[in-house]
Amino acid sequence: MNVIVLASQKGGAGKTTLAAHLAVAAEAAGGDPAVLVDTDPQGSLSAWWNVREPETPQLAPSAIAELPAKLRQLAAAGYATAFIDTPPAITDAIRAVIESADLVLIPTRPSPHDLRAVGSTVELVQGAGKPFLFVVTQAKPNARLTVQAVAALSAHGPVAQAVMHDRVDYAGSMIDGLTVLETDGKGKSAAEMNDLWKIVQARFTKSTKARKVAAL
Amino acid sequence: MKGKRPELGAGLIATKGTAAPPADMPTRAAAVPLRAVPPAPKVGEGREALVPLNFRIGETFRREFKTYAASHDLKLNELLRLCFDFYKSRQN
Repeated sequence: MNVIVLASQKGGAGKTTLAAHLAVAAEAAGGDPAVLVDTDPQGSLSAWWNVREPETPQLAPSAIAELPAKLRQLAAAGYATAFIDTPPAITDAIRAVIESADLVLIPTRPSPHDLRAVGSTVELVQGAGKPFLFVVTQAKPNARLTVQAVAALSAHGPVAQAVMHDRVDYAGSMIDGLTVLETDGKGKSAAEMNDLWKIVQARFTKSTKARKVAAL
Repeated sequence: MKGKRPELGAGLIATKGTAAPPADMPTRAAAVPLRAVPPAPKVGEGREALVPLNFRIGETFRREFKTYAASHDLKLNELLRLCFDFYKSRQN
């Protein structure tokens, strides 16, 4: 089972939205079961899942102390991918979650505040020796700031080529426990989320060529 | 979901309406000690007021400077100040 942790010191960067959407995209794309784990005390992912009508992806409750054992049980049960949402902070508890990751996704808005804060998250992930991928979220169309953000981030590590744009349909879909993939499967938001999942998947393939193509 | 359904043991997966985050993840307020926010400096009071400093530099240097500042949680003026202080200390 591949364990993907969503981490970022900044709140509102899109960790919960990406966790929910990627889990749905993963199941839709490959048919392999995905599972969500919510470690954010705010409980936004749990709240989304509680009102969600479709049964999948499923959500596994886990204490931080029991997370490694829980992930082993989930892998043994047959889940292909686990998506773990984390709170916006830099703590030992988050470090413990990152220790379980096969890949850390760091959502970052193209804003000076997010870019300044990204260093702490990168240090945390690199300290744990885990691979990571930046995902630019809430980007405005045709904004020069987005290009600059990608350039700045690429100096630290790989940046996903798929940029998540600032659209109301992300939030709108999640009110009802859904994702943009389910409310407008042929829309731009669904397309960029499917693209992102392909890029994330490529990180787990053995082909270095595919990985390089998928990330800047 | 098209793939093989996972084999679920008791308590492995949450039931609808009862999912909740773990109790042993500290909240942000508990994790980050509150720091006193210093008041904004005013003219004639302790620190000087901030004023613009305008000059042109190469695009490559600009990107490198901003990237370094971002990765070390520094404002651009803080990094400039550190560089200048270091340079002066070396000259002396």
